Amino acid sequence: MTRQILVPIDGSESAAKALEHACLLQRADGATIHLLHIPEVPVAQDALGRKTGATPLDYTPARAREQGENLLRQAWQATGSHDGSVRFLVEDGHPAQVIVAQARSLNIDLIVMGSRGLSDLRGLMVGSVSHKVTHVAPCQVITLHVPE
Amino acid sequence: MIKRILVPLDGSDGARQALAHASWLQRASDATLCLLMVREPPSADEHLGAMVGVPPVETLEADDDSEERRLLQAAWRELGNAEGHVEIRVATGSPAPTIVEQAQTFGADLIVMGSRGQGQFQSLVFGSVSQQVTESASCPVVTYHVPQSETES
Repeated sequence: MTRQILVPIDGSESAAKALEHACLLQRADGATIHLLHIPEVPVAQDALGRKTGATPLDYTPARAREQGENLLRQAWQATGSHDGSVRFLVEDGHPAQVIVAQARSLNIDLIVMGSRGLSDLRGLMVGSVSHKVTHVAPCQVITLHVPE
Repeated sequence: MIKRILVPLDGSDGARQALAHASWLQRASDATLCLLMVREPPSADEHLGAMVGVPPVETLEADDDSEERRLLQAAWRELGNAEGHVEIRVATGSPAPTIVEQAQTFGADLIVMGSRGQGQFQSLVFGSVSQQVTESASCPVVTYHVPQSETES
């Protein structure tokens, strides 16, 4: 039974580091890596959007999905390990909930994630995502913290 | 590439899992492992010691860390990676600062540690050690979390 490793990717440096780490593990035991991106719905930059929190006019979920897939593909290419087995997933929802739900439904053995992500109110957002995930995940979780 | 990995051990389950994980990494990257055990000096329970928090005289004099070394050697043997490079260290002091200090002198480029240790207040005690290390270490820190149900069973 090959190990299933889930790596949430948000485009941040720490997520990239976590992926590098997962690739090391994959080289050791031939695990399957699942890359997961959870698109954040953007807020329009015009006056109305800023006031109401509405999305930009040209935003569609399909487009967000496509961008997410590109992000995952780029992240994977950046690791340089092309022969490992990998799956790309783009899912909507609250990050921590989606990560845990996917870990359950995919029978994940290990989640590898960075501890400080993009929405950098100094770890408030993604820092707390990894914190939540470590507390409720059904499997083992590795958090990778890289000093600034 | 990772070359030097520090693994603080405290005899707990989480630490053992972290060690197994570090061993994977070692095999993948041919790194040197450093197994570290930190001895925490107990504070003396006679009147003066309890007031100022100094360790009892015996523990200051007893500089015998053979028991800790034996435990670390046993943990290393259990991994069954005989040809890997390993260094055994025992240090005395308060856990988090000592781990950070040892990481520096060892030249660690990665610390791998468990997030739930032996302390009575579970995550309160060791969880906070790994948090403190994460905050103050100058190298990346990998924290290994084992789901609660696994630690209980």
